[in-house]
Amino acid sequence: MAVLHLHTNTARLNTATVEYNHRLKPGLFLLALLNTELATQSLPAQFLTIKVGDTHSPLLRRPFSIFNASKIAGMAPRVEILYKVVGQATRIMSHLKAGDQVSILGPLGKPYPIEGGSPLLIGGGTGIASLHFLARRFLDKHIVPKILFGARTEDELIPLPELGRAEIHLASEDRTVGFAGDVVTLAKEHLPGAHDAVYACGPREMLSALKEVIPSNLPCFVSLEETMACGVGACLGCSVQLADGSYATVCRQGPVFRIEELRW
Amino acid sequence: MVTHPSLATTVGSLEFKNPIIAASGTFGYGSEYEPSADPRVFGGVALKGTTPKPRAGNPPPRLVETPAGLVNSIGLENPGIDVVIKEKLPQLEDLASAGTRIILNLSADDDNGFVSMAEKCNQASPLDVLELNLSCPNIKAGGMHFGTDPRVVSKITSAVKKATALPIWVKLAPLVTDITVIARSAEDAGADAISLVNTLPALVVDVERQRTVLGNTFGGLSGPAILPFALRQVYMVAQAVKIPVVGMGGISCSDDACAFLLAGASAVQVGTAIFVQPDIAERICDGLSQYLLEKGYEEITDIVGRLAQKD
Repeated sequence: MAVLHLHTNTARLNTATVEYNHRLKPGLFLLALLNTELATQSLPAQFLTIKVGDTHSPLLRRPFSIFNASKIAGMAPRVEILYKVVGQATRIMSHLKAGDQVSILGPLGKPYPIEGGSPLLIGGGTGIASLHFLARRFLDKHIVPKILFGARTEDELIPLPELGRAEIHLASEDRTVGFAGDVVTLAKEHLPGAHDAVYACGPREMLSALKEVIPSNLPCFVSLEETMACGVGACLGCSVQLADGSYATVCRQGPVFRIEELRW
Repeated sequence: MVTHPSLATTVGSLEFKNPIIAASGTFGYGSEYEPSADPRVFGGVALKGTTPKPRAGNPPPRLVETPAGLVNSIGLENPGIDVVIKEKLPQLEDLASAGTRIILNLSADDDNGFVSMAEKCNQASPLDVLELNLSCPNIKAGGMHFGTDPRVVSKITSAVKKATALPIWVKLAPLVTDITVIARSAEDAGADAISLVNTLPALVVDVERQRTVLGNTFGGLSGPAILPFALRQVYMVAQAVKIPVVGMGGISCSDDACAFLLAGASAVQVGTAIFVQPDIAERICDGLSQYLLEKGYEEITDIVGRLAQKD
């Protein structure tokens, strides 16, 4: 079996208070949770799991990438979660209000390695969440990332006001805004540029298509999403197949993998 | 008046500091949840199902949530008995020193596979119990799960009993014609305890794509959805055998654990609920202590099997 580096698990089981739960677009929300440990320890591509509601339905905790973690002096330490209402759990989450308490477990998973001086970030839909956090970290280091952000429709392309200094290109498959087409087609136009690392997050089909256009000598890190139960590498339920045929857990050995490590 | 009720229990001759055990497959090799949950809170930890040779596991998807339940098809992904003994068990020294019992769950295709693993375990440490999985719904042996055949259960149990001095718990499949027949065959063959229930065989369909959701078609259902059924099976077996019973199936709070103890279980295992609340052992232990205080019992063992005594 392939040996993948494990990030030291610093996850804590904790209670967080909802600071706000903004509706950004129809069905798209930004949830801010006040929790000092999460806000100070989280790294880009790490995630947390939330127990939604206090009944047996939905049962399992739900995993969410961290969109932003801030620890600005004078402000409460918060993490932000970008989520789309797709089922029962996210529908319940959309009704959370300021002051509500939720059970959280995190930060979980292995973060993106922060490499190079000219990164290209490619996000599809809510996959932009972990890349938003990553872009913030690059900007903190005075590195200006180029971001390609695509979605099916304009409604899924949320504003990214905190990335003012980054170079952002939008793509919409319904041709309503930005590049007319999918984000991987847009990426083909930008890949010949002088980028030294690519970071991508989005639907499996998008990442699979990206694999076909990434030059083999260009480091490319992808962050995966999977249905999870434990979130810590105990149950082996979220496993994905690696190029050598063995399996790796998205929650613990991922969610970040080099694109060539995976079987597509 | 009772002020400090004891949660200590015994399963056969083996003492447990409390009756809450992490169920196999839900708690890895004991350390994965650290630092978010302290494994030392558990009375025992049943390690991930181990096989004679490494197993890659089933193709994904391996999980799907259903109403108040979880269907899994992990397929016993594990590094094999040799690696578990050499690399995983030694990492459990601190946990064992804290008084948490270490239970190794074993799975094999035939009795030879079980015997060879049991023999290897004679030199393994720390290790307190061998739990024989005669019931995993996610692997097949000759097209049939041997947990459904009392003769096969008897043959495997007695063969392993001869190969080891460790206590043997036989983990039973829940869905059989008469669970008491299977349980008695394990008892007669020398089992030290019966643990039940494993997950229920299940199927989930993706209606939109007109295909099964899980990569391996079928899975095993766990979680609160199965509790009343599991409880009935545990109660039936506890009536039928003289050896101790370790009960499980959908336990997610202290009242659930209490119900299994009242039904005759000497200890209980918690699985899916760990995913939901990693600190579940602490919560259940606190709740059980409170229950004993309110009811005026000094020891948790005082309530084991109370249900039958009231018949």
